[in-house]
Amino acid sequence: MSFKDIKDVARAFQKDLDTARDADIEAAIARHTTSDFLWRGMHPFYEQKGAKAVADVFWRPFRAAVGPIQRREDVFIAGDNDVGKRGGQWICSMGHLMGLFDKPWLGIPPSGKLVFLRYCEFYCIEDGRIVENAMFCDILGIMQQVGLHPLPPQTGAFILTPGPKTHDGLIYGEAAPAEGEKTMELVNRMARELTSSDMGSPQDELLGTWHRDMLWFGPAGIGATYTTERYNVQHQGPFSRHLDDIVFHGHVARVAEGNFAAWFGWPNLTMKSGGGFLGLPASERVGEMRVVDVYRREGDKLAENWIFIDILHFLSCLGVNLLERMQQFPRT
Amino acid sequence: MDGNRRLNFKSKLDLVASSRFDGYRSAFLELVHPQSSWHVCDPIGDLLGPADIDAGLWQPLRQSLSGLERRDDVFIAGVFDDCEWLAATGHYFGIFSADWLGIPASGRWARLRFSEVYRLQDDRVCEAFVMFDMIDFMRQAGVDPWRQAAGIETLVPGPLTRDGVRLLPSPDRETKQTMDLLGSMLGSLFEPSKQAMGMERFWTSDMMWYGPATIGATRGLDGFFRDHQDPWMKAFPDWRDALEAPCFGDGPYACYAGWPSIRATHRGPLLGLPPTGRTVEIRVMDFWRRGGTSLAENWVLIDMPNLFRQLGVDLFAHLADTALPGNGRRAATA
Repeated sequence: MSFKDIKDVARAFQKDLDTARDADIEAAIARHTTSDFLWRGMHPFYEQKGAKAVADVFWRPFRAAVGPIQRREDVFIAGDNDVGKRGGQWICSMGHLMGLFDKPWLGIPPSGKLVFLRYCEFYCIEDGRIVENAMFCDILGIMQQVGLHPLPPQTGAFILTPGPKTHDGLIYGEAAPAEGEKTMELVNRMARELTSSDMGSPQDELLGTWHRDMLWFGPAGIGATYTTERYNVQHQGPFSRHLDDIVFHGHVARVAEGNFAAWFGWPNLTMKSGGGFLGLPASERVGEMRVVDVYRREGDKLAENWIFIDILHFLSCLGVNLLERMQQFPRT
Repeated sequence: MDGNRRLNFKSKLDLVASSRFDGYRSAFLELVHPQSSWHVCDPIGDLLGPADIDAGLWQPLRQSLSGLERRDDVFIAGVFDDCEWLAATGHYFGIFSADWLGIPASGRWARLRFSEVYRLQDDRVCEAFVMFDMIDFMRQAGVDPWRQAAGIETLVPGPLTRDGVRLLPSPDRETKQTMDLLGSMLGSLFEPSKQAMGMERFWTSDMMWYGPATIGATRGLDGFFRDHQDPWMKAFPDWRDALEAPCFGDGPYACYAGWPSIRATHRGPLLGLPPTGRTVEIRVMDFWRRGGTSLAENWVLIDMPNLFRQLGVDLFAHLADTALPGNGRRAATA
């Protein structure tokens, strides 16, 4: 299928799902997915198979708590999977699901006010149907929006994450392939250089592939940073100082189109806490980090980066369940 | 200890922590024994001799909290291990006008909650245990390093009965009654189940437990168990006994300076932290008030920054990571 074709499949799925009433959510999902499609969700949803499980575990409880839903999409791109051994045609859709937070969700007390659930979805589409779907969303961001502080102060800023500065992230048609190839080449080079050890200072390392006034829109718990210098102070530094034995495990999907690229892993990284990251103690346990990166290229360097991390899963690997703690001690 | 000596010590302590009078230097030297060793909570640590104690504790505090004033809620004297002891809990008040220990000045009123226990020799303080509620202080400065507490974090009041500052000796039988009750209570506190503890035998049903920031204050035994004791026992399941440490009474009041109070292994979630499996020593200072035949109030400080540091979390380093000028967390200075 052409990228335009698979985009039409994904958009029809989103439209059906977002407008379905509670009783129709499962059917809306089933119309666009294979019977045993694999859905990857955040802690506490995890992996599910098939429309019924996905509707029961994630969409129906969320939609019962937050509505009516506006999907405020900021990036929408498609591509052939650059992760050669996995292959497939993938779509990345990133933005916010907005609605009134009127009923408890995951034990989070409702505010009666609008909330923005930051999300990034990946769809793998075959023969006109979704065969795989990853749904990253920022649950900690919802907790912060209703005034809970389940983690120590962030190193970055807590903001409502904007879309691309250029407002051109929604590629519903098809972009010229050469531009996407350039973007893919750049993000792959950036990742190689960041993990190679013979580079100079973090600043030199970053400035080879990043604009100096880059934006790093991290997840709630870490926050957003601006400029390479402050990115190093507010995230890169604490991350590398306080985490040990970091191992890269590759990606499930990696796509690029136009000036945009996106990837996710399951997990991308494993590591041990050396003490200090997210206010965590040192631990011998291995934590998994499931991460999404969405990038915007400007010319020959990267200008913006949106990051999702399943922090609740990472914490649960280390032995603490913040959602359970919140239920035990209201307001925490 | 007779009334004159109590008043004499109290006056010197007040002078050392007062910026209204010029008597700091002489009061300090009259109070502090030349061989004095002071054990102060994180990040200050142990201070040996008057010069260290002056430079490490009092000078920085006097400079950062301008208009410094000491407000004792409880001030008691007693005997433990054949030595004379004094103890006090309360707050230092002042205008937080200069950064202290990396905590950014707010330019506004701030209160520093303290518990202090002093061993006397030659009519001077020869050993001291000084604990502050550092996290409560950070919170007031707008740089709360911790998550929401299960209990209530607030200005902790003095005793209901307003008789905590004991400037006259208490009748021995009153003190004995307090210490007997306390001994029975502590003897039961380490039973494996709430039922076996039978805490309702020792406490008033609406007892107040004034814990430190990160845990907060609770009312009633139900609140105490829900917000502190149950999660604490799950975090440190092998916590079995309080270590031998200075403990004495004065009429309806008693205190305990556990430095450390317990040794335990961190095996369950603690205040939002995952378990580390590390063995830690925890510093705890308690003050109790007995009302009639039951314990009614309990002021508790725990050296939380010290505990967290043993688990690999350095709150003062994290403060430096998050309180940089320009990221909006530095409170306005006057």
